[in-house]
Amino acid sequence: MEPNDFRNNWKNISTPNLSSKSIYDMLKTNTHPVLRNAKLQVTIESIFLVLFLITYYTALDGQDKPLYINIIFAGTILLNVIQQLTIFNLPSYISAESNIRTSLKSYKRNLSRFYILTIVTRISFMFGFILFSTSNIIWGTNKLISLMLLVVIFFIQLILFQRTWYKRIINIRNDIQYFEDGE
Amino acid sequence: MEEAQFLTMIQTFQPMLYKICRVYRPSRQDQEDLFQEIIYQLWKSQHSFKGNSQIKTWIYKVAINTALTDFRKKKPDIRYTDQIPDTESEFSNSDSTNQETLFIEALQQLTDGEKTIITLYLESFSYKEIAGILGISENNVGVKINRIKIKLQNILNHGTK
Repeated sequence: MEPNDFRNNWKNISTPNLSSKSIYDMLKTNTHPVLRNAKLQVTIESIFLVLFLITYYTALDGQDKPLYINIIFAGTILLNVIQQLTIFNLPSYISAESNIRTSLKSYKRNLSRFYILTIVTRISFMFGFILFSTSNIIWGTNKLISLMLLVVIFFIQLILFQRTWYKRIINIRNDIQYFEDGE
Repeated sequence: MEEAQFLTMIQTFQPMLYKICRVYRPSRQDQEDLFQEIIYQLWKSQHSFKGNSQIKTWIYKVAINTALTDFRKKKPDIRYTDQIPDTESEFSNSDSTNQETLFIEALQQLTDGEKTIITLYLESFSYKEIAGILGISENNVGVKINRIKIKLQNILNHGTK
């Protein structure tokens, strides 16, 4: 196949013919599985965090802890909920007047912001949790092991998040670099 | 734009959109997901189209932008069914010829940036139009197209990049 044939080959690619009804259904329900799963996960996590925020004071003896510790802990939970919900603003939209390079740059900024803020708020949540759970308690081996386990699980989750999202940012960065190379 | 008008427009341009999906996503399920996402993004962003550019240019911009920024599955999506379906999916590639499959597979081996430029070229956009869509210079477009053509031919002739 010669380069001159490329356009002809492209033209001759067979394509299916979706019915108007199938296309209409796509307009009415955005069921993209990957984004839907990410949003579902965030929604469930946020609901749990809000429930935790409402119940922790009585369930975890918040009245026995200093007020400032309660405020820090509740604040870090609330920050996590707010940060998680920003995922709904992530999808990239391009206006008719814009171009792909500008759109990708803006998308990369949003992804990076989401990535950094999520890591910061999750670490602050862990910090708040450790501060809360270690305040006014008598340490025993079991309590120490439990706390260590929780910290380990938390960091594994954070590393998994970091790897997935960093890869997404790198992919977009590579696309931008490719377009800018030679400018 | 009314719903009926929009559906007619998509009907007109669906071969082009389908080809983009095939180039950017190797599995049929991923192609269907991307196609659906592109339709959805077009519907949502249609208010931004004021008719200052060609409708094909706008559709292409949204489609490419969605293909580049859309989240992908980490693993291939394998779905098992209890029965063999009586009819093929509307997205079936059963009519593909051997040459067509080889060409698409060669395109799939390019990087996302290269796919973007070569598909615009294959859709007969001028260098000026490609430069406008991507936000880069015409000279850069020309250089990149030549390099991609050579790379594509190498893949087709030798099966390697």
